[in-house]
Amino acid sequence: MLPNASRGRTKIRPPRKILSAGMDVDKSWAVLRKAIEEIQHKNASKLSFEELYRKAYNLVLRKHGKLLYDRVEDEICKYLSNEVRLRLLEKLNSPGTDDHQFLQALNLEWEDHLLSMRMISDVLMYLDRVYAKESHLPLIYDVGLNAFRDSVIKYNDNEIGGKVIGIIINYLNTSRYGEMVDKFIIKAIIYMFESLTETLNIDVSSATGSTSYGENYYLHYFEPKLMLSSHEYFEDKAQELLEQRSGAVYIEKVTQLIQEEESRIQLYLPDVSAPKLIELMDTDFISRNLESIMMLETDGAKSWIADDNFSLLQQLFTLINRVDSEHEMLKRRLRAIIMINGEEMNKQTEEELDQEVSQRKQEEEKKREVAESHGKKLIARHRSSKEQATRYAIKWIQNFLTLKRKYDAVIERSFDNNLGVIEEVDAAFSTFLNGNSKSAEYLSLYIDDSIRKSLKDKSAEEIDHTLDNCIVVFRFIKDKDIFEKYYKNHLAKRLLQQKSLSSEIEMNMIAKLKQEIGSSFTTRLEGMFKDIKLSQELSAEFNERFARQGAGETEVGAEIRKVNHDRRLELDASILTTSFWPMPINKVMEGVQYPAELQILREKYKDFYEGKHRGRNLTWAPNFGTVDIRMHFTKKIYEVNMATLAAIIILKCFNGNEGEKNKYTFEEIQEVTQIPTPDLNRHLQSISVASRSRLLKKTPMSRDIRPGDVFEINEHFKSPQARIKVLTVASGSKAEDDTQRNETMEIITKSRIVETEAAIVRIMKARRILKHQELINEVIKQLISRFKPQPSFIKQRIEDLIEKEYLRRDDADRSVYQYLA
Amino acid sequence: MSDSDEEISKYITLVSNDGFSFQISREAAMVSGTLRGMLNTSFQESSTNTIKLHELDSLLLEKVIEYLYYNLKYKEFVDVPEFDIPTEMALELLVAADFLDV
Repeated sequence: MLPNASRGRTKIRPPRKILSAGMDVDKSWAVLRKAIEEIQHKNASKLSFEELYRKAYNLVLRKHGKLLYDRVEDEICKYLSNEVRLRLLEKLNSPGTDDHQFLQALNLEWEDHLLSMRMISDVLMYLDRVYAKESHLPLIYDVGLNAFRDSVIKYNDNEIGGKVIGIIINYLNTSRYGEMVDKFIIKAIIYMFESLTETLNIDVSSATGSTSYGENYYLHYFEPKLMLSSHEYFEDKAQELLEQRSGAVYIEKVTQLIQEEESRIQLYLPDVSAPKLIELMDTDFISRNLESIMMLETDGAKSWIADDNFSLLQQLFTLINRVDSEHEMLKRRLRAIIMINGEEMNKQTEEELDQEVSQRKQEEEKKREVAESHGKKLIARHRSSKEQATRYAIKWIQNFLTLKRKYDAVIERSFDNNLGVIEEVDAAFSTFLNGNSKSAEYLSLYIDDSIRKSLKDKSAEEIDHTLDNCIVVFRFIKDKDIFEKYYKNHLAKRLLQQKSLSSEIEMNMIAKLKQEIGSSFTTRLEGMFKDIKLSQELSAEFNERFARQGAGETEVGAEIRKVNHDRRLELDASILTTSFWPMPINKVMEGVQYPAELQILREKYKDFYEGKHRGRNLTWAPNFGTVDIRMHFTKKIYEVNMATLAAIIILKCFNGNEGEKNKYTFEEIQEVTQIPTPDLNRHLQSISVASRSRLLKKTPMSRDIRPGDVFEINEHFKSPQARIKVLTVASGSKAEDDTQRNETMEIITKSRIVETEAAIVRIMKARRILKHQELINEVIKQLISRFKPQPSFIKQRIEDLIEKEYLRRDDADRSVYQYLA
Repeated sequence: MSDSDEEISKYITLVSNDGFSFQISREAAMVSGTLRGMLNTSFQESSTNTIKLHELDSLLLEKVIEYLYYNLKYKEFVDVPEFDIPTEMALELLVAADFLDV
């Protein structure tokens, strides 16, 4: 309220002479001292604020600020130490006072003291405002608080303070064991502790002179004790629970304990301690012990997953989430458990298979007994080891999918669909899957079995679901090129033998693969389909034309009629583009001698096809496909479906008229047909040994075909059905044995060499000059969708290409390659 | 403590050292830190609602009260009309202001 000064020459009146010279300092102080005492004894209402204020004002105005300040502080300390403290000690030591009463007494003294200090500091407002501030001293009120700290709580080596801390910590411990305690008194005392600052910092920078919020008695004395006692309690509890050796109990109890402790913290303790105490608790209960709990053999994470104990796993996840948002502990365990699950799955698959086999054996045993009781003999059908391996493959994939579904459910229902966990689980599954070098083949066999058989009469959704599952496994497979190789083989057999349940399913599968990995992977598969479709159209056209020719009064017509004796003759040829299909052109088969009936079809079809597509080269593959023949036996006529080569044997050797040669040795048959030995072996076996299709009689009668064996038509052939199918040994898609596998791997390695070199050339052609490491990275990037090449493998390819002069090293920098056009 | 349990009065009385009484609103008195302290703590003044100011004579007190109301009125304003202070009183008012913490 400073007015705008200089306004004329008016005389300014001096302030009234209040500072009468002989003011008695001691008298004034005596009044004030008395007043402080009255205030402390709650007799303030008789005092005049104005008088006291004026006294203090005058003292400060006359430069007695320091004297006043010091004397006030001294007065407060004396009162606290000599009266309050002694009263409290008396309470403490009197047998009639319990802890609770003592705390209440302390709290009451504290509240009274605060009130007194409020009043004293109000009266001494002028001292605060002028002296304390200018001298950077604490305000009188804070002096009072510090005095309480030093003269009551911490007096005599923290005598009262230590007792109080002990009582409160004891209270908290009793409440942990379920006893009710007075939360108000605890809160009040802790609040008092918090009000007592420890390091007194006057905030010089701001003119308010307030003490900065820093260390206080609570943080300095109480909290460490609290942490220590809590730690002891948590450890005891954890130990007690650990001794029960039950993971479920541990997790449930700990979850409950944590909940209780958290509400306790909220109820009694200040916010500053909450995070520290919670962290301590989490460390003691979770970080220290949970991993070993998860590893418990009988009641740990592994058995919970096995039992689909979603709620327990969810609790586990929630607990781990408290200490680690990355859930490393959980991830580690999951990975380990999945690996064990994988081992178990391998074993389980074998056991299931063994069971199946022994069951089948039992059934056959029974059948045989029945048959023998009727005086018949039955040869037990043995499952080949390959068939076994195929069953194993299919079961293995089924079990893998079951396991994966189990984890999917756990992740969804218990692990909050956590991305990190999903990644870890997927990685573990991938490791396990790719740890089995046959997994790519297994998957292809599984798909083969699904499309041939198991999806029969299934709804569209079920089919879609199964195929999607295949993609799930496919996604995990690292060496996609190996899978492709097997898939092509199996698909080829399905297409040629027309074994697919429907082409829709086949196309659906290919579409899913395409969606998953792109069209470069599936073009050849699609090409195979196109071939088959075109072939069917061509065959229909050819057969119509052939029938017309056969009926026509031409030379050709006569020739055809002569060969087939006016019987129906049809051909269903599959034209396969060499580069799409997995089977190589088999030169050995070119020498095979065809019977006249087939020969004429072959010639006519060749003319027909070459007339349509000039310049294309047809190579015949009689080692595929089948022939239907109507066979006349003594008793009955049968329609027999058999492999082309088997039909060639029958038609070439055993289709003579009465009186012609009808007994052939193995060597003679080979002479006549020119069929390579292993194939001849196989097919002779299927038509002369297999019990249901013994069209030929073999002498001597034994299971194996040996050189010198003699064959003739089995005139007494009998079968319940009019239509018979000769099963060729190893027709359907079977698992490979080790030799075949090695062959396959060799082929794959070769194609990897080609693909890698192609990738290197492609990259270098575009970039011209590239550093070694960049080139390696680029190559891996291009090939990763098919397989993961080792850098050493790529390096070898680069060396080869340098040798072939596609590339050369830079003269200055040997780690740089140049492309040579 | 004090038994000022009757309704808190809206007005209080200020008495100058030459015996003049001024009734002013409690709100206006609260502008002064010193008066606020006197009225808010349980001393004699808060129960009687009367404050005797030994440091101020009636002339000065009147001017002070004028200022208290002025301050209260324009507390929230930005454009404040000038408060008229008689030059001869300036020094005394300065001291009083210090005493009353306004």
